[in-house]
Amino acid sequence: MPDPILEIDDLRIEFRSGGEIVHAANGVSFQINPGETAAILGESGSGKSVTAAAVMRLLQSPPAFITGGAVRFKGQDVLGMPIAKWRDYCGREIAMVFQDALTSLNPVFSVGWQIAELFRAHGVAFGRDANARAVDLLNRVGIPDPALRAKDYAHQFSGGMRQRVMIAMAIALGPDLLIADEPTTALDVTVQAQIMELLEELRAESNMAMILITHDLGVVADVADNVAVMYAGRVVERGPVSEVLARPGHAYTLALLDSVPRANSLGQHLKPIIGSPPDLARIPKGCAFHPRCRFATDLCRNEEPPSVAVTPRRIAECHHVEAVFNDS
Amino acid sequence: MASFLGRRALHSAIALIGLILAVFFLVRLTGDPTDLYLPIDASLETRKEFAHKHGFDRPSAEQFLVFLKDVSNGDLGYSLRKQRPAMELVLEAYPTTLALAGVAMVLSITLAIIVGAIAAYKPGGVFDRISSMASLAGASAPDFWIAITGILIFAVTLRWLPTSGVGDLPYWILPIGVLMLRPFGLMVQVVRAAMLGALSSAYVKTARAKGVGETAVIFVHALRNACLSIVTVAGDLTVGMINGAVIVETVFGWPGVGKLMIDSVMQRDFPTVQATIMVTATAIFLLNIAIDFLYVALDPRIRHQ
Ligand SMILES: Nc1ncnc2c1ncn2[C@@H]1O[C@H](COP(=O)(O)OP(=O)(O)OP(=O)(O)O)[C@@H](O)[C@H]1O
Ligand SMILES: [Mg+2]
Repeated sequence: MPDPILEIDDLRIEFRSGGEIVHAANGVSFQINPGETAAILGESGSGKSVTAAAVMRLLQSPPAFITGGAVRFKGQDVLGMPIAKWRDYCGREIAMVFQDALTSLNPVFSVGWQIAELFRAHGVAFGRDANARAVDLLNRVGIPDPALRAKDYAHQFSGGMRQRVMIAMAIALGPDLLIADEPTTALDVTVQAQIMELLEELRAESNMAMILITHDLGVVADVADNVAVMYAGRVVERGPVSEVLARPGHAYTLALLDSVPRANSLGQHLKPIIGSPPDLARIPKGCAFHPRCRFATDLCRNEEPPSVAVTPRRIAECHHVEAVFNDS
Repeated sequence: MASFLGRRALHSAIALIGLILAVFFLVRLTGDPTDLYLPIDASLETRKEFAHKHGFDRPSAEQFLVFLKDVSNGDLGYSLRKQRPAMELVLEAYPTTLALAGVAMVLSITLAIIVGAIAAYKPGGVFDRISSMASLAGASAPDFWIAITGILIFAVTLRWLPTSGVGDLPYWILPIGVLMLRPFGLMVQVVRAAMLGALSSAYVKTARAKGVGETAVIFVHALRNACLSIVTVAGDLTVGMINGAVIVETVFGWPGVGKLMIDSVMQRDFPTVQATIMVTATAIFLLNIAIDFLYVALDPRIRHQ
C-alpha cells in the first residue's frame, strides 16, 4: 500500500453564529492514495464542501471553527502549518475546482490573466511567458481560439467553457491532488458529460489523484475507484465503488441507491428517502440517520454505531450492517 | 456602452442647463445690486444709469436672452465688484480650490482604502470597531463647527498653526483636515462594505486556492472589485466637496472659488456669481463624464453590454 496523499482524520468543524452551533463535520475520516479517484457522495448539507474547504484552509473563522482532528497532505500536518506555507502548496500540489465557475472567476480580470496568475504567484513564469502558458492551457482544456479567448472575461463564456477555464487553472502547475466540488452541477446535462470526460482525461494523463464531490451516483460509478458516503457531517460508509454500490453496508447508502434510477434496477419502483436531512444544530442521538431509517431499532436511537469492517477494504458505521448487506 | 455614456452625458447636460436657469433667476431674487454699489444718497439719475449700464432695468427674461447670447460668445460679463471680466476672477480662484480639494480628495481616498480594507479583513475586530466609530464621527461631524473648533485649538490656543490665509504647509493642514473629514469618514464605510463583500466572494476563495498571497488577494482581487462601488461614491464625494470648499474657504480665508462665490452672492455681484456657477457646473459635468469613463474602464461587464 502506498502512503495516502491526503488523510483526513476525525475532522470536526462547527459554525457558531447567533448562539447556535452548527456541527458541519463530526469526525470526518477519509483518505486517498496517489493517482486514485475518490468520490464523496451525500445529500445537500451533509458537509462535503465544508470538509473540502477545511482541507484547502478556506474556512472563515468566525463563524467556522475546526474543533478537532487532523489533515495530512503528503504526510505534512496541514492545519498546523503556517498559512503562507500552505498557500504555497495550494495551486502547485493541491488544487480545487468549484461548483459555480461564474462567481468563482474574478469578473474584472481576463481569464488569461487569472490562469497566468498561477505561474506568477508560484514564481514559475512571468509576463509573456506566463501568458503564453495560459493560452496553452486554454487549448488543452478544449477552448477554441485560445489566444483570443484568453483576453476575454468570465461573463463572455458559456457555463461549460467557464468550467473549462476553472479546470485549466487547477491543472496549470500539475498538482498531485485535485478536489472537484460538484464541478458539473451548474451545467446542462450534455455539457456535464463533456466536463467529466475532460477531467478524467486530464487526471489520467498525469496520474493525478482526484476527489470528486458529487450527488450523481452515475458519475461515481463511472469514474471513481473509491467512494465515501457522507451523512450529517460523518463519513458513514467507504470502500471501493464497485463493492459499495453493488451491495451497500450502511442503511443510508442503501436508501440513497433505492432513491435514484439505476440501470440494474430497471422496472423497480423508486423509493425516495423519507424525511429530511437533520438540522446540524440538533443532530439526533445515537445514529444520526435513525429517524429516517427502516432498519432503526432502540440501539440506533441510543448508541452511536461502531465502525464495522464490512469486508477488509470497506467500513460502514451502522448497527445493522448485516441486515442491510443481506437486504441489498 | 456608447449609449450608456451618451445617456449619462445627456442627463448631465440637461441638469447643467436647468442649473444655469435656476441660478440666473434666483440670484436676482436676492435684491437689487444698485443699493450695494452706489452710495445711499445717490441720485435717481445715477441709479438709473447704473441699472441701465448693467441691463438690470430690463425684464429678467430679456436679461437672460442677452446673457445667453453673451455666453455663446464666450463672454460671462464684468464683475460689478472688481470691474474686471468675471471669468478672469473665476479662473484665478480655481487653481487654489483645485489644489485644496485635490489634495484632500487624494488623501482621503488613499487613507480610506487602507483603513477600510484593514477593517474589512477582520470584521468585528478591534481595528474594525475603532475605525467604524471614528469614520462615523468623521462622516457626521458638521464641518463649520470642526473648522472653528480647529482654529480655536490649534491656532488660537496652541498657536501651532496659522488661523487663516494661504501659504506654506502649516496653512494647508487645518483646511485640508476639515475638508477631508466627511469624505474620509464616508469612504471608509463604503470601502469597508465593498471589501467585506469582495473578501467573502467565491473568486477570493479561488484566488486563495490557487496559492495567491494574502496581500494580492486583498489589494488585487478584492480591491479591484471593490473599486467599482468606491469610484461611484468617490465621484459623488468629489462633487460634494464643492460644498465643503465653500465653508472651509470662507472660514479659513482661502482665496478659492468657494470664497469667491460667497463673497459675490453677498455683494450681489451677479455676473461673478453666474460665472462661478457656470464654471463649477461645467467642471462637475466633465468630472461626471470622467467618472463614467473610469467606471466603464473598470467594469468589463459594462464595457461589453
Ligand atoms: N458559513 C456558514 N455558516 C453557518 N453554517 C454553514 C456555513 N457554511 C456551511 N454551513 C452548514 O454546514 C453544513 C454543511 O454544508 P456543506 O456546504 O458542506 O454541504 P454540502 O454537503 O456541500 O451540500 P451541497 O451538496 O448542497 O453542496 C450545512 O448544513 C450548512 O448549513
Ligand atoms: Mg457543497
